[in-house]
This record gives sequence, C-alpha cells and structure tokens, in this order.
Amino acid sequence: MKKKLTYIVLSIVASAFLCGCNTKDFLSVTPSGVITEDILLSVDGLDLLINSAYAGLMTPGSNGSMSSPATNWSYGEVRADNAYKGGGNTSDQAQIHNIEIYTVSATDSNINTKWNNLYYGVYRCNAALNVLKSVTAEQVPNVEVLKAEMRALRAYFYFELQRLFNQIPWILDDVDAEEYAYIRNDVYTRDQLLGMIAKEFEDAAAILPETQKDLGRMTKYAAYGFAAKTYLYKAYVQDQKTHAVTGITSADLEKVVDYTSRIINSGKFKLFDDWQKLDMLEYENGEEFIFEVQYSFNDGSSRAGRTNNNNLLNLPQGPYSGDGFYRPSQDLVNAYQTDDNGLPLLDGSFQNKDYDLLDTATEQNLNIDGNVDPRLDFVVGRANVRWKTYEVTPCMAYWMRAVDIYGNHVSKRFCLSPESPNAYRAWPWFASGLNWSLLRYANILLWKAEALIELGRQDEARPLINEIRNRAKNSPWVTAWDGDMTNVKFTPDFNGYAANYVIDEYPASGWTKEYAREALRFETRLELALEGERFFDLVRWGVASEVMTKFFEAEKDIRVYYGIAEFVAGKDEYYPIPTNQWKYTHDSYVQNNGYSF
Amino acid sequence: MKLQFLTLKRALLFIVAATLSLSAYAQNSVSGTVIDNNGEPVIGASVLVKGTTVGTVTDLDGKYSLANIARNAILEFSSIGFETVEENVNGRPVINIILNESSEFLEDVVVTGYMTEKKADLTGSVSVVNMKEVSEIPTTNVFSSLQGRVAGMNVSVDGTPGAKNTSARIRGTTSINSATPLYVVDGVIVDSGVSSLVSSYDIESIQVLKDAASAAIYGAQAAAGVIIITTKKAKAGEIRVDFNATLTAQTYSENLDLMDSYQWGDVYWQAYKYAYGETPKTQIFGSGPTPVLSTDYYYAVDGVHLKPANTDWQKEIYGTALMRDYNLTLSKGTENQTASVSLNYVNQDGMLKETGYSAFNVRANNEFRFLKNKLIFGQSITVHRDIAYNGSTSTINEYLHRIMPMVPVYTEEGGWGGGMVDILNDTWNVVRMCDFIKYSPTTVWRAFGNVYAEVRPIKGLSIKSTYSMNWSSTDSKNFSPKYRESTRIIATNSLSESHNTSLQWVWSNTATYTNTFGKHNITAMLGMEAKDRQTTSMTAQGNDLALEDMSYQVLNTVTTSKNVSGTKGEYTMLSFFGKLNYNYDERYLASFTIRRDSSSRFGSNNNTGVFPSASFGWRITQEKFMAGTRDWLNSLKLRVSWGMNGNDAIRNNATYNIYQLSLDAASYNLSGDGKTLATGARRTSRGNNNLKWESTTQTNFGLDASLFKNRLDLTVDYFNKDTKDMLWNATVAGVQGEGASSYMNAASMNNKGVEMLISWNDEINRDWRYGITFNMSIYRNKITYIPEAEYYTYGCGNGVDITNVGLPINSWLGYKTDGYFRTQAEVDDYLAKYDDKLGKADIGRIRFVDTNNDKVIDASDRVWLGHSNPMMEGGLNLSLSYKQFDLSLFFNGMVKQSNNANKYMTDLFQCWNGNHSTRLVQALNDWKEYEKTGVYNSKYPALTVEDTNKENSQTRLSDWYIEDGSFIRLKTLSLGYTIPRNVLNKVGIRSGRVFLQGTNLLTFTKFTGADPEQAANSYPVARSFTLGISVGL
Repeated sequence: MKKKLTYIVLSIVASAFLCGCNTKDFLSVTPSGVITEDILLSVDGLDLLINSAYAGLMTPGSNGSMSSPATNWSYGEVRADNAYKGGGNTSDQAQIHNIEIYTVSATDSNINTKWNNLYYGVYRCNAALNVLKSVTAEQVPNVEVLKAEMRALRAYFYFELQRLFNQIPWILDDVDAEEYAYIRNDVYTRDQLLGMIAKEFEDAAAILPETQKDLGRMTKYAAYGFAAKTYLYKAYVQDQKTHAVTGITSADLEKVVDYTSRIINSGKFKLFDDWQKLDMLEYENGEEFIFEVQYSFNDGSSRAGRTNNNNLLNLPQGPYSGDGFYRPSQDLVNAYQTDDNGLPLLDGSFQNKDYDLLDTATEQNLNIDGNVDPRLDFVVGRANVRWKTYEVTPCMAYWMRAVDIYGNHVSKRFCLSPESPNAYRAWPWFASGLNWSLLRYANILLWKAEALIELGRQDEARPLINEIRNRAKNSPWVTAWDGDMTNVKFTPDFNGYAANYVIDEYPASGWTKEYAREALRFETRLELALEGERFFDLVRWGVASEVMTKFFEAEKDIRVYYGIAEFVAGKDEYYPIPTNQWKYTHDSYVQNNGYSF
Repeated sequence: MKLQFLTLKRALLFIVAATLSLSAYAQNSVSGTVIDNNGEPVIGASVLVKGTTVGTVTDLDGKYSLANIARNAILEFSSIGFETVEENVNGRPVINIILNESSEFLEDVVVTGYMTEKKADLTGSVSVVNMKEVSEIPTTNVFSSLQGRVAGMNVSVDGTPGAKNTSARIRGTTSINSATPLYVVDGVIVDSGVSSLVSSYDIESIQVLKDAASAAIYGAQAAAGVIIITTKKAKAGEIRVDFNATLTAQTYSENLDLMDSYQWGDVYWQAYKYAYGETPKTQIFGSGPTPVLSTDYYYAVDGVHLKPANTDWQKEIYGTALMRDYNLTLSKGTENQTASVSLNYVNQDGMLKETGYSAFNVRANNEFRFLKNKLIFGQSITVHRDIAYNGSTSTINEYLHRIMPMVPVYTEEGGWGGGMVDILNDTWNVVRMCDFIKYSPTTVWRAFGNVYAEVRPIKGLSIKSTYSMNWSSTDSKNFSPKYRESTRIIATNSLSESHNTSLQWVWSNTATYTNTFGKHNITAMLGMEAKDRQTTSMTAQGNDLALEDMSYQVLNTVTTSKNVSGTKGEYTMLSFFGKLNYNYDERYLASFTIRRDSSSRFGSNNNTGVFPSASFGWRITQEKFMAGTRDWLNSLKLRVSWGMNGNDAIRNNATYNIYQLSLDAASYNLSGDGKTLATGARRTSRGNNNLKWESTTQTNFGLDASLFKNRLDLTVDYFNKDTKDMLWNATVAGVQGEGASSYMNAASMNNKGVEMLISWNDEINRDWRYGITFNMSIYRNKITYIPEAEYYTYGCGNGVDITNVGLPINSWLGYKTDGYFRTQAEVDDYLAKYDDKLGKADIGRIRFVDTNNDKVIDASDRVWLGHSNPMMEGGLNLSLSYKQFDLSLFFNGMVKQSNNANKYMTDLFQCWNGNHSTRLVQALNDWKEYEKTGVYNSKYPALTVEDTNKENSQTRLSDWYIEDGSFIRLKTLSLGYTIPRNVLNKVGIRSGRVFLQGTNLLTFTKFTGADPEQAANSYPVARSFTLGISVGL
C-alpha cells in the first residue's frame, strides 16, 4: 500500500510539474491591445505623442467639458461682466454659479479638473520632447521644428495656467518624473513665469516655419502672436500678493509692438470682410485666423466626432435643442449702444439704459429705439431677429431658457446655422467641427494698439482700432427678418435691419492717451466678447475690482442672484490652487492670497 | 458522500434482512409505508424487530412487509438522517410510520473545498443554508432569497428584473476594494454571474466558509469568504420527475408621497417669496400674487402644443407585473450510473414599464462508476440564455424624483411632452425613457461545465482530476431613435452593438487519503490547480439609420459616424495546496491547510504568496466525564481557528505602464481638414512591479451546541479579522501627468464581530409541529492604517486635517445641526455670537453648530456623524405545521444609520428640480403660522428657492440627513398544503404541493426615505404574491 501511495503522490507531483515547468510562461501574461512603453517612447511612437500633445488643446482625454472648457467661457466670461452661466436655473452646474457669483473654493472639483487638464497638456508635450531629444536629424529630418512646436504648445498651456492660477510649478522636460510632485509653486513670481513663457514662444518662433502643411501645427506667426500676448500681460507689473497693477514696463510693450508688427507686416493675414465668417465652417483656417483648435466632425471617433464639446451645452433651444448655458449679460448688450457719431458710450452711460428687453406676455422687444453697434447682432441672439442664415424662423423667445433668471439673450457665436448638414442632431447638441480660434488678426491689431497707447504712441494705435471698427461697419448687417412675418412680433422698421445700426471710426480729435486707453479697452470688449478673454483682460488692466463691483451694482436688480456677489480685490483676480493638488504634492504648494486649502 | 453511504447501507441491510427472514418463524405479518415529514417515501429505511436480527428495508415507494412477527413485537424504524422510531405491533397488520428528520444528521456532511467533511468534525466557521426554507421563494437569483438567512452574510438586492443587482458580503466590509466572495460551484471556481449558472431548483446545498481557516484552501482569492454551491444529482435507485411552477404578481409599493401641480405651485410661490421677496413670473402659474395653474399652452410652436398638466409620474411608469417560473427535473439513478436533466424557464416583467427578464437554463449531470466504484467518471454541463431589458433605471428613478407634475406626458398632438422651458427644468420625460428600453436588450449566453475522473485504487484513497470551462458571451444592443420632446429635437438616431466574451478554464487535481488508526482519524489532501481567464470586448456603432423599424436596427443600416473599438485581457493563476485533518477519538480535532498561489496579476517581484491556516476543535460531550449531561446536552463543541487569505481583485495589467491609442481621447485633426484624425496615444495608468495581493488574517472562536434531544441548536462565533496591504489606486498630482496613478499596497482595516444562530424545533403532537430559527450578527469595522501621503484624501476626511483612520469605513464627515432658527431673536443671537462663514442664518434655516467653540461657523466645524455600515443584522424564521398544512414567516432586520440622500429632493425646496414630497405643504402651513406668531415651528426647513455655498446651504452634508435607518421587515409569509399521498397515489403521482407566498409585506421603520433597505434611486423591490405548485412523479 505504501508503495502505491508513494507512486500516486509522485504522479501528482509530476503532473504538477508538467504545468510547473512552464510556470514562468504561464504566469507572464503581457497586456494585450495596448501600446508598450518601448515602442511608444521611441522614434516609432513619436507621431503618436505629438498628435496627442496637440489633442491636449481640446482638453486632454476628452473633447472638452462643462467643468474645464478650453474655451474659457466660464473662467473668462461668466466670471466677468460679459455673460451669465445660464441653463435651467442657478443650481444647474452649481460650480459655474460659484464662478459667477465669486464663491469659488479650493475644493471645487471644476477648478481641480481645469488644473489637471492643463498640466496633462504640459505632460504630453514633455513626453514628446523627451523622445525628440534622443532623435537624430537622420531619423527625423524636421526634428528641430517638432521640438519648437512642442515647446510653443507647452508654453501655451503654461500661459493658461498662469493667468488662471497665478502661482504654478514650472516643470520642463529636463526634470526627472520622480521629482514632479516636489516642485514648488512659489519658485517663480508671476512676472518671472510670464518671462519664461514668452521666451519659450520666442525661441520656438525663431525655428518654426511661416506655414505648415498641417494647418493645425504651430507656425512662426502663431508663436509670435502668443509671445506678444504674453509680453502684453507681463508689461502690466502686478504686486505678487495684492495683484494690483503697480506699473507698466515699456520694454515688454516694445516686444508686443515688435511681434505684432511682424505678423501684420507678413501680409499673410487680414480681417475677414464679413464679421459673420468668423463662425462659418467654410472660412476655418481662413485669412483672419492665425492659430485655431482644430475640431472635426464624422471623423471615425465616437458620436459626432472630435467636436468642440467645451461649449456644447451653450446653444439655445429652438432648432438647436441646446441647454442654453452661456448667456450674454444685459451689460454686454447695453455696451453695444452707440452715440449719434456711432461711437460707444465710453463714459459708462450705456449702463443707464437696458437695450432690448422682452415683454414676456407679448414677446415684443422693448427699448430698441437707440443706436447700436452692428456687432451686437453677430454676438448676441435676440428674439425676433434673424438668426444667421436660418430661414425657418428668426430667433424666438422660446429659444431662451429661464428668462426670468437669465434674461432674454442667447449667445449667437461659435455654432453653425441650424440648417447646416455638418452638425450632430442629438446630444451633444448640434456639435460640429467648427474650430475655436486662439489667435485671430483682430487680437493682433488690438494688442498692438494697446501696447502703442501705453507707450504713449496712441496716434499710431487709432488706425488699428478703426480698422476693426470699419470691418464691423462694412460687414453685411443683420436684417430684422425677411421671411414670413405672421408670427414675428417685431414692429420697428430700421430700413429692414434688426436695429438702428450706427458705427463709425474714432476721429483724430480728442484722441488723448487716456481717451485712447478707454476706447481700446471698450473696443476689445466689443470685438472679442464671449471669446473667453474678458476676465483676464480686466485683471491685466488692473480694473477687475472696479468694473465688477459696478457691474454687480448695475445688474443685481434684474439678476437677483448677484445680490450676494462681491469682488474681493487681492483675491478674486485668480482662482484658488485646488486643494487636491496641494494634498498630493507633499505641501509643496502655497495658496493664493485670500483662499485657503 | 451521504448519498453513497445511503445506497451502500441500503444494499447491505437488504442482504442481511433477506438472509435473516428466511430463518424466522411465523406468527403474524406486518406491512406499511415509511414516509418523512414532507410525505416523501423513505427509501431503504431499516425495519428491525427489536432485540433480534429480524428485519427488512423499505423499497422505492417506502413500503415494507415482514412476515411471522410476534403480536407484541416492537419494531425499530431507522434511517440515516432520521430519528429512530419504535412501535409496538399490538397485532396490527398495517403500520405506517412518519420519520422525523434528525437535526443531528441533517447537516451531516458539508463541502469544504476540494473535499467533504462531517459537520461534527468541523473546526472552522461554516454556515449551511437551509435550502428547505428558501427553495420555494420565487426568484431569478437564488442569493436574493438568502437575505437575512445566514448569520454573517449580508445580501443586498433591488428589484431589477433578473435580480441582476444582487450582491453578497461575508462578515462585513473586508476591503476597500471588491469584497465579493469567491463562488465555487460543484468544486469549480467561478468568477462571476453565479446566479445565471444555477437555478435555485438545481441547488442541493449552499455552504458559506466564513473564517479564514475554512477559506484558506482557496488562498489568494478567499479574503472575502467562500460560497460553495452543490447541485442536485440523481440518487441511486430512483427515477423521478419533478415539476414546479410559480406565478408571481409583483406590485409597486414604494408610492412616494409627492406633490401635485397645485401644491407645487403654492410651495413654489412661498419659496420664491422667501428668497427674493417677490413673486415669480412664470408661464405655468402666471405671475399673480398666488399661483394659478395655466390652462393655456406654455409651449406652442412648430406644431407642438404643451399645456400644464397634473401628472402622477409614478402611476405612469410603475405597475403590477407578472413573473412566471417553470422547472422540470428528470433524474434516474442505478448502482453504477446516475443522470439528471433539468430545464428551467423564467419570465419576469418588471414593475417599471418595458423592463423585463427571461431566462432559459438547461443542466445535465451524469456520473458513471466502474470497477466496483473504484473508477468514476462524471460530467456536468449547464447552458443558459437570458435576455434582459433594463435600461438606465437609476436615471429613470432619479428623474422620477425630479420631473415636475406640471409636465404633461404627451403633447396635444400625441408626441412626447416635456419640460425644458419656463420653470420646468431639464428633466427628461420618464415615460419616454421607459418606452425606449424596448430597443436595448442585453442577451447573455453561458456554458459552464466540467468533466472529472476519480480513481479509488485502495481503500481510503481518492485521486481526482477535474477540468472545467466557463464561457460567457454578452451582446448588448443600444438603439436610440429620433424623437422630439418639448423643445428638444433629436434628429440623429444611433445604434451601438457590443459583444463581450469571457472564457475561463480551471484544471484541478487532488489526492485525498482517509484512514483510521485506532483512535486516530486522518484525512490528508494534496492538490494543484491552474486557472486561465481570457476576455474580449468589441463595440461597433454608427448613426443615421434610414429606417427605424426594429427589423432595420442592424449595423448595416447606419450611414455616418461609423466607429469600432475592442479590447482583450488575460489572467492566469497557478496554485498548490494541501490539507490535513486529524482527530483523536472524535474528541480532539485539528485541521491544517496551506496554499501557494502565483498570479499573473501581481508584480514579478511578488507574484507568489503562501496562505497557511490552523484550526482546532474539542467535542466536549464526547468526553467520559460528560456522560451525565447527555440527557439534555446532546453535543457541545468548542472551536478555534486562525488563517490567512488574500484578495487579488485588481486590474489584470496593474503592474504595467499602460499606453493607449485612442481616437476619442488622444487624436487630433492636425491637418485641419475637419474630418481626418491624426492618431495619438496617451498613458492611462502607471505600473507597480512590487504589487502584491491584499492579505487578511482572521482568528475565530466558535461554539456549537445541541440541547434537549436536539430540539435546541446553538452556534456562536466571534471573529477578529485584519486586512492589510489593501490595494489602493493612489491619486496623484496633476503635474505628474495623465494616467499617473498606480496601484499600491496601502491601507489596513480591522473587522470584529459576533454571529449567532439559535433554532428550536419541536412538535406539540403528531399533527402540530413548530420551529423558530433566529440568526444575528454584529460587526465593528475600523480603518487602522492609511499611508501618510494619502492621509487626507477624498472620502477619508475633510481633505485638510481630519482623517478617518481609527473610524469605520463609510463614515460621514459633516456638520452638526441644532434644529432650525425659529424666531428672529434666535437669528440675531446667533449672528451676534458667531462669525457665520457658511452664510445666511435666517428664519427656518438649519442652525449649524460651532463644534470647535471658536465662534466661527465654518468647514472646521465638521465632525464625524456616524457610518453607513449595519451595526446589527438578523433574521427570524417562524414555522408551524398542522397535518398537511404549513405556515412560515420570515422577518429580517437591521440596526443602522442611513444618509437619506434623496431628502434634499423630497424635503427641501432649494433645489427646484424636484417633484417634492407633500411634507413641503406642511412647511408652507407652518410658515403661514410663523407669519402670524413670529415663531417658525416646523419639522421641515422653511421653503426657499435659493441655496448656494454662500448661503445657509442645506445641501451640505449634516446630521439633518442622517436618520435611523433601522428596520424590521416581514420578508416572506408562506402557506403551503401538501396533498396527502393516498389521494395522489390513486392518480399515480408521488407527491404534490401547492403554496401561496407573499414577500416584503410589512416594514417597520422610522426612515423617511423610500426604502430603508435600498440605495436612493435603485430599482424598487416588489411586494409580491406567489401561487406555486410542485408535482413529483
């Protein structure tokens, strides 16, 4: 029996070893269907890394989201005096409501997502740069250009980070990954950071070609444009703690003039003849655009494609079925009012009259007898007014949600006309491949003008501002509505137009530095409204506190939720460093003034 | 083992009896039938004339006959598993006997992993489910009927058709990760979806291995306990046909008490006035001083007309639904071969419109014995298919709370009604959402089977090899049509289909040797096991189908946005194990196991682990000195055990840096043509090569006792369980880039608890019998360690300086409250005393407490408010039978706290988007009273429409939401009638039974949410009524 037992035990052990002799193979299961590090992080994976870094412009990992829009609609416009959050009510996207009424806290997840996404962009650029460092010109002939592209792209992400969060950790591709979480955010001041960012753009611009076969790539002029923007921010010296503007540096302004002039003098860019073309698919990558985020439709990715989902719930209802977020403020509408000479009401008197109110019972437009800038009807959707090239109805009152909370205006920008076949007719509402512009010729003209004025060369600035006004003046204006009038409750006759459009150039007389500064700032607001820049402009100019306080005062009767809004100077110029980031970095971050972790 | 033994004994007795009867001399003859309590014939029972060797055994029908018996002889009726009965013949020619099942032998043998053991010899903590109590409960998932039945097992279930959301936990929350027990079906490890592999009719027994020593034989997979399922097999010498059918009506009983349109308007008016001091301007209710529900269209454009309505949305989407369940089992057994086939069909309509489930299950078990049982081959196979229509029911249930009564279900034209405009909020029409569920079925096919060979070359030795396959394929279709709902126009339809497969094989080989050397009893087992699991998934989708008819809903008809994706994964494990059971004289028991597991999931530095255990028992009643107590103390056993288990439930590729090519997440239209993507890759996770399994060490002390002629049974266990190296997907800073998180072995936790099972079974007389079974368990959970870098992460504290180390998992951090501000004076006092950083103290608002006495009300006042883990769970089963009738009641209950998450939708108004409870009407009346008296005296906060962070936000977590979530529920009540055999025999039927059953009939609770047993917005459980029959041929 013992013999038998021994035999049996041995056979079990033997059968175990049959399996066991291959134990190592049996247990080493490599991941399937995913790309391995040694391929990706080599010259073979280079394109994958670079494409992915560019995709970071859309916010990494997704087409963008309500929480961290690459378009900055919430961070740059709802935060400022140009727009309301919108949507169904004030608790619909409550964290954006916090942004709107200045109750943002460091634990808001939106802020954390925004921070993460921008640093993911930086990380993707660094990953590509790390491979590019080891690549020779024999392997990749344009290796230097690619390096410059990645540096410029990375600088763009850093610029966004700086103007949102003020104090940020600066991590380039030369840092060991293990060190990332220990790098402090108070190593450099704002001015130093902006200096380094500008230098990255300048270095890139020196190498980048004037044009690229792939329209989405960084070019010399894009890099100059971003360099100019960065220097313009840097020129306004900020107190590191109170964020007050303490002075202005001419040297930086000279750089702005230099780089913007290079773009202007290149002759490659000009303003579109028709303002409307800014929002048309046919004119993407056209003559006015210097650098755009390239979106695409029906491209093989899921749902609609890699469309601009940053602004996706922002379209009105009606033919778009949108959720009606991102609503132009009454203050913005009022700002488009002009005087008899076709000039804006720079003295602030525009706030005295609420232009285009809506009688909810009759759906009649009220207070529309005065003069307005025609850009009003390119930017703002108003009831009973023609909507782009749509021929079924004009914009209707029912297109707007929560009129009692957010008023009777909707954003008319960044979407195709409802009849377009190039859009998705389900959620995400009417998503299309329409690009988002990060640099257009109008920016360049305005930045140059701003720099010139601050340098005391305001006379050189006036033609630049007028060039912009002339384009608005000479664009085909929006007609009231040329279709069936039965259901349209719009009676005044402005020669067939939707409003009494009066706009003209600034005359030479009275064009002092102070007047020019006001005119420039006002023009910047009117031309770039809703493009995500307004709040950052206000902070740069050092007027955020003053403007926002006045705005709350002017609006709190019609927008009751502003009743508790308060701008705290020295704090609210920036967003807080997200608590989570501080937690995971071993106490390496200091919080911005006025916030706590 | 029980079966084999029975057969063997029967054969033996038959021979003995037959031989002996020849030599007996005649006086009288006696015959009769021996049946059990259920009226089933007892086959092979021995009938012996007391004091002699004369006797016989019962045949297949339980019949016996004895000739030449003395008129005053005493007959002894006995059979394994039954109590012995003595009966004086008294000259009667016919003696029919009912044998009572013996509690001592009922759970005689238990399956403990790769082997069976006598229950009396167990040294670990093993619960055996009483299948008799649960077998008639109509269910599509047998585990859902185990709720409250097993001490130490927590079962959570909701009403989803197919009971697809049923989950079981053993001995509390063992881990922050998946704490799903390991399932073993007929000796084969099954990773998932056990309920679709075995229908409840096919289950012979369920055993739960609770302590680490019992589970240690399953090593790295057993930290959360092991559930062993044994399926029914044919019995030798039987030919049976069993048929069962149940018809169940499921009724919706949640019935939330929600406001109608008129009440909603009144409440809204007050809430708006409170917040803004003026009345609102609306289309639905006008803009007057009081709300007037408009009869005009609030939306009338593009040929769509919507009028305010007064919709009872609950009625629209919930209703009574039927469930049918049929089961047929055929079985035949001979000495050398057994075979059984069972067919099961279930069809369940959901209470929620358009949801439903139907399943078909076929199972075949065969066993062949050769060479006098020295060589055994066996095989079993199950094929299962089910189709489920479930939709996103949690979203529908959430919207049911949110959609307002003023929204009409349909437009005047018959299209879908909806909100979106005016004050109606963007809540989707739940009737429409239900309607679309029919477009999106999920079909599952499964095949599960094993083949085994067993050799018994010498007495006591068994060598067994089992190879099993477990295949599943899941196909989901998801079609969303074009439609219009209020202002929303969906003009793009889309279709997506996905196909997932999983194939697992397990090969296990064991050798078991049992022998007795004098008083030394030894069982030793050695084994090895290899496991491989492969999964694939693919999805294809597209938009713009030209036709929407069901027959065109195939991918061929999509025209745009065509998109495909797919993944693949594999996981292997190789294990060696051994077990030694020793007992001396059935008095002193000891058991030792060890298992060595190597897994592909872990890092190369750590891919192998060893899991030991030891356990000891002492059967005190076997001692000589206990002889005097045997009258009342039938058995008493003390147990102690210690062991280690692991948990390997992490992603297959957690040790690798993973990069992924992705059109959706990393690709870009670099060319600028608006339609071509340049593909990109991104990192999705970082690997950790030092990764290893979580380990759990558990000590168990137990006591088993039987008293008063086995009428009272008692089992008590105490355990102390430490889980360490819990797998933690560490969150990292943004600067480290995307996909920078990686798994690490981090936190530790401790669970302690006591479990108890008491049962009393007795009969008053032959007609009246009753039984009481009570089980309960008490746990304490504590997080004992978190690495410092992760100390203040989300969910573990306030993110700054409070951590939950030392506290139970699932603890709530929030504000303490002290009622509402009742008068202006109270508000003024408060504001004078405190710097209120939270916002706006006002009449009727919740008053937050300054817990740290710094005179500032802010986030630092947050304290721990309790936890959601049940503190005590229990079940009570009462049974009573009279002749052929039987009645049973089962109650389950829990002592716990609950965070009533839906309370902000039902009891607060500041989130307008709510179809609120009528409790708000009370708040409105209380406000009117306040306006008269200056005192706000209400159980509810004052109505307001504004609630932001800067105001006195009531949505922030506070003890206002924490309620006593304890409950006692009459889970089942059933009444059965067993048709007498003499009636059935006339029509050739072996057995027959009819029963009526109700489930979830009564609930006793203070909880104000929908259901104390359910998470917010889950599919409600039904109150159901069942009629069932079972027939045996």
